Amino acid sequence: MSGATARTEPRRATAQESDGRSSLDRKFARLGWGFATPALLVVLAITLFPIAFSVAMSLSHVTVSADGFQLSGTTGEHYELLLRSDRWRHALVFTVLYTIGTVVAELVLGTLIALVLEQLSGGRGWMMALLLLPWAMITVVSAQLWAYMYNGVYGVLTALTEALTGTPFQFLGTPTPAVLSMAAADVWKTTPFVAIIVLAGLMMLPSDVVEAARVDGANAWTAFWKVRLPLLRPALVIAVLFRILQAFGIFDLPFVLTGGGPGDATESLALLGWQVMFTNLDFGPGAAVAASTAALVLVGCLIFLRAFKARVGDEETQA
Amino acid sequence: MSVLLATTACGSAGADAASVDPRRVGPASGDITWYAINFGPEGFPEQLIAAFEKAHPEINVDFQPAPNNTDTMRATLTTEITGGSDAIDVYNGDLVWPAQFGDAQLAMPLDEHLPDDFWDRYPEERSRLTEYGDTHLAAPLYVDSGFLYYRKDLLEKHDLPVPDTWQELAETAKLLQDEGEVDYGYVGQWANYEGLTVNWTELSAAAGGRSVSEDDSEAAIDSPENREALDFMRQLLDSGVVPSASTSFQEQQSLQTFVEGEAAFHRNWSHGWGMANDPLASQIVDRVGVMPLPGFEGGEEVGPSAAGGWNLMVNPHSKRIGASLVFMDWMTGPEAQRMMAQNSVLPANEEVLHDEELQRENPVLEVAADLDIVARPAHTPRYPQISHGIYTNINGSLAGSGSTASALRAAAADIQRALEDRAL
Repeated sequence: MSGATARTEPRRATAQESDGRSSLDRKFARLGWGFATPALLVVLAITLFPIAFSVAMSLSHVTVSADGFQLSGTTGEHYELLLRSDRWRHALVFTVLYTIGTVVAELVLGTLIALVLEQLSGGRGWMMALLLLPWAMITVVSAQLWAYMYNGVYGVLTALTEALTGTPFQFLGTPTPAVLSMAAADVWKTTPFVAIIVLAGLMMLPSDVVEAARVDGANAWTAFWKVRLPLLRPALVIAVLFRILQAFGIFDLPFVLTGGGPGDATESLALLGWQVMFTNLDFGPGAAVAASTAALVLVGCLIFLRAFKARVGDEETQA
Repeated sequence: MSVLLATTACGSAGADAASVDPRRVGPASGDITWYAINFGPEGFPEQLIAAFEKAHPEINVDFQPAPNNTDTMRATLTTEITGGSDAIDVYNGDLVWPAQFGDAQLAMPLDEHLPDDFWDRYPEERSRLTEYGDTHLAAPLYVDSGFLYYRKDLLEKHDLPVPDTWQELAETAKLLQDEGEVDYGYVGQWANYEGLTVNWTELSAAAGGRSVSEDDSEAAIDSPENREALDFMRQLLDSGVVPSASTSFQEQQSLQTFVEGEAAFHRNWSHGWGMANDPLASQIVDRVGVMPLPGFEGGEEVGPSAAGGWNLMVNPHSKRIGASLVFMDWMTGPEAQRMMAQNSVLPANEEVLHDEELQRENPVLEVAADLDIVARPAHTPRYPQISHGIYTNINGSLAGSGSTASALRAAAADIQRALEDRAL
């Protein structure tokens, strides 16, 4: 965050002095870095160090004693344990499918909501405030509310299904419904976030392009698919990227709603990592779960960015 | 008192080679911090502290409430203690923690600081549950057990006896359901968590089974007795005696269902009694009976109850171990333990637990004093993985994702892996 200030500083100087880098220029750059250093050190200490430590932990023999952790020797045994574990494989498959499913649902719903909001003339501010409520609510709290609604005996949704069909539907008691119920709670919470980012994208679209398309005879449908959606791509990429990062690390919903159950149907990688580390007190394997999860989501995001950024670039040059 | 003597003796007996280094024990005075999940009625830990400080004015205790979730508390303690913090001196630890905490050196071994006769205040099997290796790591503070709560009024109305076995319970429950008295026959804790390991251990033991061999070396869960127990649980679900929502029920949800008058029978810890008779929370005040869990057809008449409850443990980094030990001694002694019994907290102290006068005031105490106790297989630091192997497979099977035979086979494999230290 603070790195950005450091970078804009020298750039502005370059704009002023087009004939090469003067000593004043370099001075400004140094000053900029100097100002940013304390903040960078904080980032280093609270972000990079723990990540590096946990990667180191995942690759070492860890002994826990009253004097803290002792890391000794390098070993791949923790990762080997993961690769051989059904539990880890299951959590990986669940997390990947869950991420894809919820992000796609949120993207579609969020875009639809944004399109409606865009058409609203009055009351848009109120609607947005209302929409943001689920997103602003702490997940543990909203998950608890969902748990009440899903409760198989006194839950309001269970009662509703009983009134409609005659038999109470069990939302959390069996595997498939449990996964879908959890996904529904997630979609409810994060769709507004996607909607707001997409809405911001929509507002930025140049209106003359759409008008030109209309003049050329495109109906609303074609104008949306052929003109607006491609132009929206940068906003969509941002929304999806944020959502992948969050969804892949899902912890609070399964922790509160299902505890990973029934069986291990809703055990995510983050929940697994937490259990291995803080319930089993197996720090090496726990760090391996955490580090591999981070690596996987990083690779996933890079692939996604590469695939879509290229096309975003194309659109821009064409426009 | 004996601890106080022991610690002061340590302070003066510098020449005695067998005694403890007083620098390591610290003075038996000053400020200590006690970290615990709230227990008993509102403000009860503070009442205990007030009484303690009256008896020991030289020590001040600061109560720091822990998050009301055992796993979250364990995570906090692990972070604090492995980080070398002495912010907490003494803490409440779950009954199943000693082996794991001993292995990870999160709790101070107590035997070199406490006299041998300290442990005489507890029933022997309870004191044994605090050992790991050759030493005690924890002093039992209060206990808990599984109880069967039942609708006294409904049994009387239909002239039905209290059930002796689980099979009789199922029949009685079905009858009351058919009569339209209750929606459900029985609710327990069958969700995917530690509580299911507790419920399973009780039912399995009643049927004559166990999950780990007696010497903690092998998985023993895949046995004919356990197949019978799990089949029985699945039957309860199939016949509608147990609501299918049970596979997501922990203590709170199951107790809620019972106190709202929707179930005839209910298994819970001792706090179920207070809540069932609380007019603010319960629809069934004064219509509830409590008894030991039933036996299994063809087995013992009374079924075993799982041991629960909390111990006191000392942070090895504490600078005030002396004061912490005095606190530990007083809290597990007669005065504090009587206060607990009077406030619906089951005392760990044997003498207080068997006090007939106290038993008259609290029927749960009377039942508790004579329970047949079964322990979860927590003698190994690998217990969390063992328990995970039990509860996920049993819960999965109850939720319909596998047969009895395949669930127990999978559980046996998971437990074996855990025992051999090959489990994730």
